[in-house]
Amino acid sequence: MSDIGGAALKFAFVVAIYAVVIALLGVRLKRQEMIRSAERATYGVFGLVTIAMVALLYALLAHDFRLQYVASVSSRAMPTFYVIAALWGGQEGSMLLWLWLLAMYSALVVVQNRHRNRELMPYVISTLMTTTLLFLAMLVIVEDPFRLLPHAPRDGQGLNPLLQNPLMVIHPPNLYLGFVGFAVPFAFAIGALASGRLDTQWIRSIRRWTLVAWLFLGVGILLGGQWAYVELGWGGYWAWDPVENASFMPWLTGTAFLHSVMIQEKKGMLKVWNMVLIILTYALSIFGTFLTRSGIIASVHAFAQSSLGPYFLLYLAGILVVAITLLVKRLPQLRSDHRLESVISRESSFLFNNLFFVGIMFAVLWGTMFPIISEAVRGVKISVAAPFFNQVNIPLGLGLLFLSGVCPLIAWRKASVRNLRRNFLYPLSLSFVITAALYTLGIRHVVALISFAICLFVFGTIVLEFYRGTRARRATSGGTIWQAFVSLIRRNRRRYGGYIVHFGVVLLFVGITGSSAYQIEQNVVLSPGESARVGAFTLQYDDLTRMIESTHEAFIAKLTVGRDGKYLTTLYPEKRLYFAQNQPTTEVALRTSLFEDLYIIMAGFEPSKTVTFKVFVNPLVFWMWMGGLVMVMGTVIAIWPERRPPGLARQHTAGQVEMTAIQGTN
Amino acid sequence: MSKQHVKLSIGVVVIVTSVAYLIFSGATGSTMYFLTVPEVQQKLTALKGEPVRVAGKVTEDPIDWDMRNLSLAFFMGDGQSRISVRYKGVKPDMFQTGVDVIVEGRIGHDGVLAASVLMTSCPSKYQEEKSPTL
Repeated sequence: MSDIGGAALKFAFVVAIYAVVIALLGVRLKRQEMIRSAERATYGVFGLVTIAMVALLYALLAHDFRLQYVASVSSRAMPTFYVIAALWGGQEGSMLLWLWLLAMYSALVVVQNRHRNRELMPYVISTLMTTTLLFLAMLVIVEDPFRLLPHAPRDGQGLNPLLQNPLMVIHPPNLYLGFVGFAVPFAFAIGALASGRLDTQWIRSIRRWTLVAWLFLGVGILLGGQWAYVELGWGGYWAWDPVENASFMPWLTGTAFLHSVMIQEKKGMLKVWNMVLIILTYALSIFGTFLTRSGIIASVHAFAQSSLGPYFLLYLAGILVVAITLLVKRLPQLRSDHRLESVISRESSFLFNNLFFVGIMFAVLWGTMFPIISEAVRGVKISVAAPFFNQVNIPLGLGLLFLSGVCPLIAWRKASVRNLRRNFLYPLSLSFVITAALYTLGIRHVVALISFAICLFVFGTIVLEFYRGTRARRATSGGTIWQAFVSLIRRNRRRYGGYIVHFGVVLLFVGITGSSAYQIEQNVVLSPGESARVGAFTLQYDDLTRMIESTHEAFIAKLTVGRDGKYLTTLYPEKRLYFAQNQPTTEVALRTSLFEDLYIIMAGFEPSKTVTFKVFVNPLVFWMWMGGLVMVMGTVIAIWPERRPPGLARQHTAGQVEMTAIQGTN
Repeated sequence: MSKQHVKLSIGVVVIVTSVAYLIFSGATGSTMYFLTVPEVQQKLTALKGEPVRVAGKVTEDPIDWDMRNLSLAFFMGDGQSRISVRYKGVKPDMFQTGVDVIVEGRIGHDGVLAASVLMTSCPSKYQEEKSPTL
């Protein structure tokens, strides 16, 4: 089986080269059959890579420990669910997954565009296939998932127990769907540049692809944070670790891109900027993948030091050279259709929003790369710690949040004082009143107050938009409030889906603010029977028991938790020792509510059963995850295809709705 | 350049300079040298009181783990040289002799590194653990 897998990859390598060459030849010689052949080659690559995936999966499930990969990430005792997840648990397997997703997306793009974008497709195919070649090269030459051991061990080492967690299982595929997903808009951008077809067609074609990639990347990032929170036991969800940053940066420029393409679609502005953004986003995706896998920066995710670095860097340099050359060549054709008329307008608020996003990205890039830059320049490695990132990104993030409230309501071209007053008076008042109330209730943390004030403001603007839209819908088509509300969203999914996403962002900020500004952290040493007070909670330590499971030995503490004199819940923090890896792990005991999380770990215990507990009270964390969910919901609404009214072109429908909306905000 | 373009440029410049200022002031507060143990030994007097980040292995010297006060005392080294570390916080699960660690903290006048951050990495696997506290 492993021979089939290895052979499939090598064969795919050849076919991918063929695809690149024949696509470019076909467009140069203007031969349609050649381009069709390249399309079939793309399907072929997908088929072959699928064979390799299936082969590796089979080897895992069959416990074929002759394969070094299988022996290193799985064992006989592991539940089947995690044996399957082990497919992407190690370096080689996860790269194969990356490759497979890329091949699948490439095939999908070809199918989708069988009768569209014909001038762009040869370049799209060759760009996608070149990326496929990068991964095939690495898999065939350096990190062979089908490498055999001299003799098969009786059992494998098994997957690191920290990874045997449902969140960890879906975190990498989500991230890869995001990273790989950005390859498609990038390929289309290259296609537009290379073919000279620089109208908004390419932007419209990639809209859903960009949203889907962005969605998966965002979800992947949130899942990683949630896993860190629930599994690693240090009480937090984000550490500005280089690999975390590596996934965050393309998300930032991706979000900027998502927004500024709206300006290009509606006003024909920011064309060069959008090109730069998508090239940057994709380059950061590749760079992020490189950072995670090359081991050049010490991190929580440090894969073993590998020799993959040069491959990534060469590819990165190559695509940047090609992209920038093409961009410079087409600069004259990328002139704006309109000019900016006022600083107080929707166009300029979009521009400022972009600047903030890129600013944050740049700060994160700087902080992450500083050790390497300083070593190259001054010969000494200088590290940047977490406080840097927070100090820089909090003001920028809050500024961005504020803009998300301003931007949807401010008028195009030039906002009048009347327009500003009409749109922002209520939200600002709401924000002021409730923030004042919070202050009197005891919330004194300055940054938290500012954050809550801005959250309330944005919330107010979103409610205002939905209210006005629903009222207008009811005025034209009647029906109940609910019917008008639903129909409003249905007819303008992009716009109102976007507002829902913004609402999710508000919730996210609420969660982050609460847990960052008002976290309680306390160490408590207890003997059985003793109790302690942390925040509003009383913790009574009852007993420590020892249990033997099939894969591990566990020491479980029993804590009875009370609040305001009444019983609340019982929590069981654990320490485990996994036999296969001879590795201890800490299991967090977590109780979530809308207001706060009670988070407890056993820091250590003695034979006398005296235990040191580390207790955190993290306010409002629930709203972070809820915010993430709302963001997903909003994105799905925005992506959902609209039923095209017969006979009407899509542009006109969008234009009509937009006209009504513009009149509504003036 | 039109009046609006001037205003826009001012807006852009303000944002860009603010970002640059934030990065600069943030960086000067939170940077530290990232050194190996031999390098620390070399520059010991100069480094006293400065924030540092050091990478090395946990040596075979006795490890003192005071569970009740969450205080961990150990030595980290690189073959020849070694430095004494005192970390206040939860002992990472993977912490033991021979494990690669990265610590962040300041070196006191007694030559002991008072660590506020301790990260461990498993030598054979690719997973690393983190316990930044206090």
